[in-house]
Amino acid sequence: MGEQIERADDGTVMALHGDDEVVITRTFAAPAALVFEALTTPELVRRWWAPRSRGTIVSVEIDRRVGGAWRYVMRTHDGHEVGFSGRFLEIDAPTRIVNTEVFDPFPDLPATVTVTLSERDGRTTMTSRSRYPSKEVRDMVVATGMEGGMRESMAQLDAVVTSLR
Amino acid sequence: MIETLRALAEPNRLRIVELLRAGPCAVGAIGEALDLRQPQVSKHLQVLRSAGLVDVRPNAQQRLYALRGEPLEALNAWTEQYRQLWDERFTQLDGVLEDMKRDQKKRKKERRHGRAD
Repeated sequence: MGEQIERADDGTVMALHGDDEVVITRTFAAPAALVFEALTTPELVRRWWAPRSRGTIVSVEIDRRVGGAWRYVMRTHDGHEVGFSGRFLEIDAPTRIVNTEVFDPFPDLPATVTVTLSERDGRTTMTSRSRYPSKEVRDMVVATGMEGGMRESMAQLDAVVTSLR
Repeated sequence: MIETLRALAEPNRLRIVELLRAGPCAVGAIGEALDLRQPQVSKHLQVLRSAGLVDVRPNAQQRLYALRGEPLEALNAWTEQYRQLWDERFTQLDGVLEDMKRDQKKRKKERRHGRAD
C-alpha cells in the first residue's frame, strides 16, 4: 500500500493537427501544482526526461521566468549527445507554459510549444501543442525522422519528438 | 512521408481515403458518395496515386480505385514510435510524481508531530 505507483488510466495520445501542429495528451494521477513542478524543476526533469530505454540525462538547466532560457541534453546509448533549448514566452503556474524549442542541429527552425495543465478530482491532464514555423518544416522534420531510421539517427528522431513537448 | 502527409492534408482527399477504407470504388461512386464533381475526384485521385496511397484496378467496364496500406502504415509507425518515446518519459514522470506526493505527506505528518511534541 502506498508504494505502488499510481498510473493514469489514459495512455499517451498523439495527433497531427492542422498543417503545422503536433499535439500530445496525457493524464497524471497528481494535482496540477505537482505536475508543474515536475515539468519545470531541473532536479525533477533530470529524473524523467531521458527515456531509460534510449539514453541517460546529461544536463538540465531551467531559468523559470518569462524570457528565461532552458536547455536539456541527453546521451543516447549509442553515444550521441542530443540537445534541445529555448526560451520561456509565457509562464502561468500551475496551468500554462509557452516556450520556444530548437534542436541543436536546426537552430533556425524553432517550434513554439504550449503546455496546458488542467486539474480535475486531483488528476491533471496535460496537453502539449507544438507548432512548427510552417507545414513544410513540420513535414520536413517528420520525414527526416522517418528516413533516418529509429536506431541509427536517434538524434534526428529526438528532434521531432522533443518538438512535440 | 512528406508526400503522404501532403496528399492527406487536403480535406476532400482525406474524405476519399476514408471512403476507400470500406473497399475499392469507381470514380463515379466516389463523386456521388462525397458530393464532388467527377473531374475534381479524378484530380484528387491523381494526387493520391502519385503519393502511392491509391491503386487502380480494372474491373469489367470500369476502373476501381483501392487504398494501398503501405504509406499509411509508415505514417502510423512514425507516430507510434514517438508516442512510445513520450509514453516512456511520462511513465517515468508518474514515478517522480508519486515520490513528490509521498514527500508532501511525510512533511505534513512531520509538521503535525512537531506541533504535538
